[in-house]
Amino acid sequence: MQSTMFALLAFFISSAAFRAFRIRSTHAVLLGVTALVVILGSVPVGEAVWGQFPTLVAWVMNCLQTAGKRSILIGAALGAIATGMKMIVGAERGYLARD
Amino acid sequence: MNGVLALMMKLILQIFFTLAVFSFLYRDNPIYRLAEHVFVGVAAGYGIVVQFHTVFMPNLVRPLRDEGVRALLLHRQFHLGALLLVIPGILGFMIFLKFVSNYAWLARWPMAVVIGYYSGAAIIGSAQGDLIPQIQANVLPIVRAGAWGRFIGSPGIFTFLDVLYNPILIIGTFCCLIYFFFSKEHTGVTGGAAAVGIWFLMISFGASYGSTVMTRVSLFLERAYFLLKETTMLPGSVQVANWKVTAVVLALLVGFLVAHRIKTGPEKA
Amino acid sequence: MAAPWIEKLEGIDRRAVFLVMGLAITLPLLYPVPLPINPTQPVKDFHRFIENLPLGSKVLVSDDWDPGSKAELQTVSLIVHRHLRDRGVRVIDTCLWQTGPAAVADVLDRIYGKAGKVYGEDYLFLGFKEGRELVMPSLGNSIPATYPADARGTPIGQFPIMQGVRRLSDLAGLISISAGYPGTKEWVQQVQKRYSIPMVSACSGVSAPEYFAYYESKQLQGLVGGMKAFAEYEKLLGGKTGFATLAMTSQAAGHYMLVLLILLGNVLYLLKREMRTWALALALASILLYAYTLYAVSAASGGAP
Repeated sequence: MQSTMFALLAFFISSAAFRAFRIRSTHAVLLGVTALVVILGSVPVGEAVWGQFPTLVAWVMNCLQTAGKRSILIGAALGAIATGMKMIVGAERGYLARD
Repeated sequence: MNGVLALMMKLILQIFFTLAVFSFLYRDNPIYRLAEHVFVGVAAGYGIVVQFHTVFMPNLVRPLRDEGVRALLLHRQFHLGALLLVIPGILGFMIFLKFVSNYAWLARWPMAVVIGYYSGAAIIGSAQGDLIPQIQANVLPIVRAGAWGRFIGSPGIFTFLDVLYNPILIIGTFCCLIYFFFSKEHTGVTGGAAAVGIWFLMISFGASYGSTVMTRVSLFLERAYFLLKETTMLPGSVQVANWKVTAVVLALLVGFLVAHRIKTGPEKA
Repeated sequence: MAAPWIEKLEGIDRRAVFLVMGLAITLPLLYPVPLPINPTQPVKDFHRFIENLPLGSKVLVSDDWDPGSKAELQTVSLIVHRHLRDRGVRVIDTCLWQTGPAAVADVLDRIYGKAGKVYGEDYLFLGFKEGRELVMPSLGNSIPATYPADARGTPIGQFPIMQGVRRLSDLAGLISISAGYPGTKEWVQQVQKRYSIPMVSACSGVSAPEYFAYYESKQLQGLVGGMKAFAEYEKLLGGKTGFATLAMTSQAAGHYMLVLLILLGNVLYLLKREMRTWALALALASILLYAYTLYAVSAASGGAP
């Protein structure tokens, strides 16, 4: 049942993609093109269409998108350290929910 | 005979609940609600039982009882480590005082212990596992070793992309970090770098979206495979094709949903 | 004002989209087409990691998934454990997801139990432990203190596989089969650097882009993420065609259908905004792409994957 609940997401993502995925701006173009490259590169058909397609996808995953992910990891690590220090010294007491 | 019946019931229930959850794609209906409630109840009950047998008993009750209290009372052996387990035991009990309004404030003490523990782990983990290694990994030569040679030897789009590999990682990561620095207004050079950072972030979100699509499709694929292609082995080397059971259960479900639709009328807009 | 047919098509009942998507994924299951599968570098590195493990060495496999992620993670868990078993590597398995142990135990039984491997000597299932990322450094300090007993309640000191194994650094490596939190990210943060343990990850497609940063920084020595990577791994192992390879046709059809929906939605959007030239260009490009894809697939399907 749990896996079936999650399987419903395949349909919702397709419905959302049809209705809401609109390439309206430069940022949307970047997001959309990368998404399309990764979606098509996630199946062997891409390689049948263009033999070098997996090389392109590997470059996108290893290099292009890693830059963004790495910065998110570094930023999140700095945030986690700051928040952890604030909690330990008592500057952050949101977890002590007021009754 | 009992084994065959049990396995057939198991198969029928698996297929029934799978189709019941999929019926939500048509519309919300009592069959889906039944499946949803059964799922929530079973998950909660299963979780409690798992926690009791894998955490509560082996990590608290047995060591405290056997190595602590019994050893002290029966064998006059004093194991401090085992006896100190009474402290986390009491702290665990105090969390449940959240439900007693007069003593709910006592639940903050064990919460503070948990938060402190996780904060400490987060600080060390983030620093050691994310911050330092990722910064180290981004300290790269401007051009990868041998990349220029490969490009000059056989110029092409991919050898050129190989030359750009390190500069893109360095510039991309740096610009994204500048974007996240909100203490300075994003104007001038900072604004330009932040704009480049947003491009790289959009690219990484696009890659995440593409990979998410892959996972979601796989999830449904596996369920469809189970319903239509898999076979179940029963005792006595009897193989049952799942699709046959699926067809019967589906027919019954559709019949019920049609009858329900006739009874309740068309769905409101 | 957009033409009525554009509005109608854009506002189509979502159940029609569901039906189209469902058929696109289901029909190829009944009529699969062999597709070329060539392993990529992260998958080859994962494969090499296990190939380089000495015979009889012990590894910790953390099966951090549950039935909700069974589609992907059970597939790769079966493949990884099969590889470990065939290499003669001994496995100590954990599961940090509360509802995961039953599914993980089933995998272990299918791979090791049915192959005649001895529980407690060749493989051991420690089961679930609450604490999420706090369990990881605890294992790094002392495995018996974290898991006094295995999943069946037997004290772990009784098992031959635990001889000489007190902490993570006594093991040859760590393999994280991860569906989310807690999983590979937490293992890398809490354990990989601190205890200098060689580590690889097999993960769901959702997590793979994030873990590429760890693979790129060599914190992970190999990465298998998503169903296509699982199919590549199956190809490297050889033998009987597994579920991941069989699923590739359906996976491809599902992906191409989704891309078609995105392209169609954008064509309608451009038409609605009276950008007819752009809409026509996008539509033509899409038709060419799909036509060429069908041609390429039919040409390639003559070869086995």
